[in-house]
Amino acid sequence: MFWQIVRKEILESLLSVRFTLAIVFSIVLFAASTFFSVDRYRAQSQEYWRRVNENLTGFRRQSDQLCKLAFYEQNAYRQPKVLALCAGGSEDLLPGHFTFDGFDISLPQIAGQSNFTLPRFSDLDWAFIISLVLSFTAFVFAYDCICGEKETGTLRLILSGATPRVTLLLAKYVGLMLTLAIPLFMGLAVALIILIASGAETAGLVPWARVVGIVLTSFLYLSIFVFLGMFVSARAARPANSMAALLLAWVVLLIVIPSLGRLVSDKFSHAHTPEEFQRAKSEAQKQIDDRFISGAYGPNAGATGSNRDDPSVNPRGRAQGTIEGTEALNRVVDAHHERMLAQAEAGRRFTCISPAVVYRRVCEIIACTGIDRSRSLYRQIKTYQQNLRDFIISEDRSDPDSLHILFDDAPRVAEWTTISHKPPSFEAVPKFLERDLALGESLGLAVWDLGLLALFNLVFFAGAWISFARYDVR
Amino acid sequence: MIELNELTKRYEDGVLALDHVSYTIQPGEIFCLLGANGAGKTTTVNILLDFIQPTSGACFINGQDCNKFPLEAKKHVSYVSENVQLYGMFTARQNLRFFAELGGKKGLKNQELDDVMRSVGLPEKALTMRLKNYSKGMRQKLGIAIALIKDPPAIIMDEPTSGLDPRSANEFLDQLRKLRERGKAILMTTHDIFRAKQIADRVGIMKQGRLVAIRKRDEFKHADLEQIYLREMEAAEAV
Amino acid sequence: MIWKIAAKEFLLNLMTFKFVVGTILCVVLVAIFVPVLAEDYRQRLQQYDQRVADNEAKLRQVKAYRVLTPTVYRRPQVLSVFSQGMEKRLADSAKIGFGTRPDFDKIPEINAGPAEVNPYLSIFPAFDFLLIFKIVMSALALLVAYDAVAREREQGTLSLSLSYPISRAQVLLGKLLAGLLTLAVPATIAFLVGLLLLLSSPAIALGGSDWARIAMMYVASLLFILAVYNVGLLFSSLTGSSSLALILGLFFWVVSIIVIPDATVYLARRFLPVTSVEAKDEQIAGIEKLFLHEWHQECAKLPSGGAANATLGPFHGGNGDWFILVCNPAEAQYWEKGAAFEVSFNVKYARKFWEVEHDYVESLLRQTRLARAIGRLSPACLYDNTMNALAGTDLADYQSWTQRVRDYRDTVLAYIRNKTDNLRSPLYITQCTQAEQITWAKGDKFAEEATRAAEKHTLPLNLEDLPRLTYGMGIAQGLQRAAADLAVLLLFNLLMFSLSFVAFLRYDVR
Repeated sequence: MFWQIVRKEILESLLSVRFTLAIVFSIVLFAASTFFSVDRYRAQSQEYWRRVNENLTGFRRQSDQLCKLAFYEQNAYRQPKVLALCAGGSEDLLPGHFTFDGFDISLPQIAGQSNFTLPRFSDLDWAFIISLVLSFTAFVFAYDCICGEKETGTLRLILSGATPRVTLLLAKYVGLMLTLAIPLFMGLAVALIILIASGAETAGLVPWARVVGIVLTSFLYLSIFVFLGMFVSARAARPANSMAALLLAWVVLLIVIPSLGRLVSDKFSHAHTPEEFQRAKSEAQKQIDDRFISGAYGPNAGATGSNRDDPSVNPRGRAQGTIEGTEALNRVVDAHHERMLAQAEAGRRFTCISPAVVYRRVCEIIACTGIDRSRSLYRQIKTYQQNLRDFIISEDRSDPDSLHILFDDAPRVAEWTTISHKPPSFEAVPKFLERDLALGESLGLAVWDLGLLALFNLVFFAGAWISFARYDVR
Repeated sequence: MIELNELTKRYEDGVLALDHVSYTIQPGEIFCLLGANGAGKTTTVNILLDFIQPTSGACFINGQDCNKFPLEAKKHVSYVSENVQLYGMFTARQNLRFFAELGGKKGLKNQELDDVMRSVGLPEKALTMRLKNYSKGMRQKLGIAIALIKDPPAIIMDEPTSGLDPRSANEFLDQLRKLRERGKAILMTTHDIFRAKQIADRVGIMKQGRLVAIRKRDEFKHADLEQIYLREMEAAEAV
Repeated sequence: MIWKIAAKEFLLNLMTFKFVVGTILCVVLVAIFVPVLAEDYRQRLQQYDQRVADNEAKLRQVKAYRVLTPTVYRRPQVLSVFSQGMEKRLADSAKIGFGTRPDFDKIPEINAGPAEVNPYLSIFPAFDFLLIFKIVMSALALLVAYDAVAREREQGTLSLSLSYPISRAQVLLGKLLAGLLTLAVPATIAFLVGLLLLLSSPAIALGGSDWARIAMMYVASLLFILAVYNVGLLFSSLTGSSSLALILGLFFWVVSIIVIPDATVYLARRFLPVTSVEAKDEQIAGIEKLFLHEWHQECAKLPSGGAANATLGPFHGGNGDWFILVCNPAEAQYWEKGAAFEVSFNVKYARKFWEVEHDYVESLLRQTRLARAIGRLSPACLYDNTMNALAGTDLADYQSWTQRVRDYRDTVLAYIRNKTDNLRSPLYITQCTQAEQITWAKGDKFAEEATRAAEKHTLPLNLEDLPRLTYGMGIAQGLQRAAADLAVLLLFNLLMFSLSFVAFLRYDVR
């Protein structure tokens, strides 16, 4: 009985105009999206490796002396990802460039990254197609699944047989999901063909496990809309009312609520303005300067004579003060950066009322793109800085001439030989390369969001069940 | 009056829906068009109302060619369709007022509308009820009220008694008699032989697009119309 | 007759569930969006007033024409509350400068940068009032239109109506009129509520031109909604079943309102890449090298300068920001020849720098223009363009302001030339008299006194006759810019309605 109903549902849908339209749109959109993504990935990849090599070349030039290593201003760029085709994560709009040396790190920069005169857009990635177009399609399929059958009288007919209502409901659900799966899979198939045809290097880089993860999440997401569609269908007397309610719900959930995110971010959380940031930095600097003057780091700590053995200079004092100064400034920068991230997160948390936002977040976590990735990049740079400093200090130990103190004052470090002048082996020098989270780690981060998606499913399923149980079939 | 002259209709897929049909319905006459489903009854109505064009031949309402001058012809006819749903969110009064105004009768008072509705047998409380709460019989009566209020010389009805319970059907036939007394020419398509026998002045039997027989009232009053009908259908088949 | 049909349909529409829910949703959204946007505008206006006042205060402290480098600001548009456009995306100030390295970094066209304090906030879509019309009202229009014809056929009332002496044209026109009236209700309520909320904010004052533009924006909004309605009507007249009309209408809606606006940006970025910032920076560096080289060459031809005591002008923080309090005669002599040289040399190179920057921004704008051109396929994009043009927040307006600023810079330069006898008068660089120069040149003690004396009696110049930058956009200009898109929107309406008409003439009403 169950599978007969499922089969009927699928056949009925296959013969409808909306199914044809869904297939056509799905294929066209997935094809266009993949085609452009692959293109863009190649171009960006080239650019990225060129820049990384430029950085590395500059770094190599700098590494003729150990004491210069920590002061080369490196550039870290966000590595283009193949999976940006699944969930672009607004990568072009988010900061993708940090400059840093062994001690401090700049605030994220986005100048020159994209054309800011263009209207705001979302990437035409899979997440867009699935979260907007396919969810819409889910409504188009589900809106009359109950009230439409009531109008044609077939609902009465089925229920006059020995079919329990819950069986009918679940069979309709399975039928709808399988129907939706067809355009989804056809679109994905086209996308994968294009991906594979685009060249072995691109294809070989695709982490298939993650793609499967995203596809499964997509099912979980679309299921929400099927249940919601069934729920509204079971509450409406006529399909027209059902569609009206669903269309307006779709608009609110997928368009209005995400755009309120900005409003919430602005109202309830404040990042510091550039002026406040500068003020905080000046204050921190002033405090350190005061301590220098007051002699907290020892006599002559501020002196900068060129001979370290001269009693008028105090290398250790100066080093200590500079190190404290660097740490203080870094704390200000970190705090500022954290506040910026927190402001964005505040808005996102609010917009999690919309399943589309949750879905997108999961996809971005699995694909390692988006705002979490920017944060991860920042942290990785900080870890790298520590590694570089540790490396320098351990290499420096073998030089008896050196004072073995590393601090953020390049001329003094060189003049006073607080770090050795000998050349390090460039191969041994740690170099920065961005690392993705392991799949297990990603899923760990995404677990709450997946739970939220499951919760949405549960709520709407309960709603659909209760409504259908009392539905008046006459 | 309603006049058909060698009316022919062949559809694009080759089906001959009407085959040189001719007859005239006089004022004060009820003409019932009998036939199985697909015989050409509804096609006749559709051509009279200019919903489709004939392949050849012509039809006239009060002398106006229905297909050459449809707007003129429609001034003289009212239509009662088989499944009258009307505007569900409007009350009976609102529906009636709208169609009255379409027919050129502006500024009617509620009283006048109510009188017409009462005259077709609608109960008092139905007058201000929304159409979505009407039963089929009540809707049919309102359909007649709409036809009445226009007060045209000709009335076309398409399967008006289908789905009515016996009592409503009888009330409907009473209305028809009143209309006949007022001198209306009435064309009624039906496959309800029983009712046709009760009300018709003449009966036309259609089969596969052809008018195979016309019988006057006296010819079938004492005979069984059903027998005549079946006999004529067989005869037509033999031809 | 048309009116009767329209009145009937209008009343029926008002009683539907979809109409009530749609209208309530519109009003609620307006009530949320407008106060927030109005407050934002108020803050920006306050900031603008403050900056203009500061600029005037500084003008009253200018003591030599060389340091007359005012900053001009663009007034925020009040109608940006309704249609943000480019308003918050481009910088809104420009510094007029003639110094050693001209200050072009504040001219909006050139240093237009994302005016974003927190770059991470770009993950959010724009918070735009037009969203309400583009998405919600258009969805409502579709919901009202899709069953306009097909449902009446299913009900049987269409054949009933057509059995009356009315032509099909009258019926369809009646439906068009009804759709317009029905959708005008939530649109008007939204506008009225929005205006009320806007006016209730203290800082906001609307002038005559603003009201005219608001009226046009209202008309444009109705045209847009009617365009979507017409498409729905077309589908309804093409199909016999209302559910099929709905499906077709919905797919059209999703494509034209959601996918196309996104896709145009995507396509434009793909097919018209922009010049990279690095390439531009390289070019600038090249010109700078050339500049320095030529500068040194030419400088060598001038008489060598002397000594001077200089101080910063009120507009410091750029170049051309210092002037001389006292100097010796050799320095004065240097400036007699040097002033004209400095200005003409800088203006020449300014042109070169500007061209490079301009080309870069032009390439950005070309991409944006392409996106907008492709977008003309969708009524939503046409509507967006029209509203931006009417509100004064579109690209064309920014470009027009930039042009004004460039002209203004020429005006200021002409003014300075006028006041300093074409840069030959020492007033360009100093108010120091010849006597003071000689005194100052003599020795330390006297130099100190001379400096102090000069500081005391060097009064600010009287700049009251310096023309100030005025910029305003009248309704005529707004209309002109919006005209093309508005015309296409109108044509779209006519086209869709004509197609509906043809479809309806052959419509099988049985």
